[in-house]
Amino acid sequence: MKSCKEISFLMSQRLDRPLTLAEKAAVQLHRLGCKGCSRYESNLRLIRKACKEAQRLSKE
Amino acid sequence: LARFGAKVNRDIGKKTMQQHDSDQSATPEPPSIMSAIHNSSPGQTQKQGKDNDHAPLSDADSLAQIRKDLIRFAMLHLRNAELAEDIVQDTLMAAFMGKEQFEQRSSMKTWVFSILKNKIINSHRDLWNKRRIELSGSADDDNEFDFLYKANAHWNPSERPASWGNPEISLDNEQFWQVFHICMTDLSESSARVFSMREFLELEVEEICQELQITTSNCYQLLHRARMKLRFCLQKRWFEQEHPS
Repeated sequence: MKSCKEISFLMSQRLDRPLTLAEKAAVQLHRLGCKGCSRYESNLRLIRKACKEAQRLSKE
Repeated sequence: LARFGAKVNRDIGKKTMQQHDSDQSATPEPPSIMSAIHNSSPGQTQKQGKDNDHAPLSDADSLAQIRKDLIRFAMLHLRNAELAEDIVQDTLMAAFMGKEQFEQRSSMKTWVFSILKNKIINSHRDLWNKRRIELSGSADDDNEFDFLYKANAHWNPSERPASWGNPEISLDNEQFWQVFHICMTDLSESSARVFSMREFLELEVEEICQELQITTSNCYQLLHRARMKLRFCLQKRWFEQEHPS
């Protein structure tokens, strides 16, 4: 099983490139058993959302 | 303002020369129009005549407003007031120079912003090349977040990412944005640059790599570090703090 360190890196890359099938499986499997990483992923999603919002606000 | 005026006039000289080089038939704008960028008094802008009637750039109020918007946008990317001012000057200048090509486009604002966007990308690239920060992941950078993990590289229980509750609410909170900007400022220069190209300019990783001449794996690393740091900072400075929602 991959470590949280590796999985968090993959979760970041998921925002920049499509993961391979194996990587996707590793992330999904890991997330089932790891609260820390699933929270990390939703934190990252919020950061992306905040960036979009910041961009929108700065153009308003 | 006087200082800026002088700079503008210098730039006009430069730009008109360039324009002559590339296009002999181009008529350079008289400096009086350029000065409207700074001293946007109605008297001056009226002189601009009827050839740019539909352009809000000829209207003093909308010019001042668009300048303010451009600066705010540039600040988000460059995190440096002086740099932002300069780049907005250049942008408005380019907009004035190119307003003949504008004509059919629907939104003047969108067009001016697209000029600014390009200038920001160029500035990122130039600064990058100038500093040529050692990117290939130096050892201390790689270990920056090791305290978050135990020896087996799983989360340290005390640093395990927490649930952010209903984070949507935060986006409506003005204080959240202050913290957000502080956290952005905390990023190292190299990861901030890559992060802002990716998240604010919405470039693809391939485009960023091409602009900055870095490898994709380098780019993924830098983006990862930026997100790690930003998340950690928001966690500590916002989500773990008491604040009125």
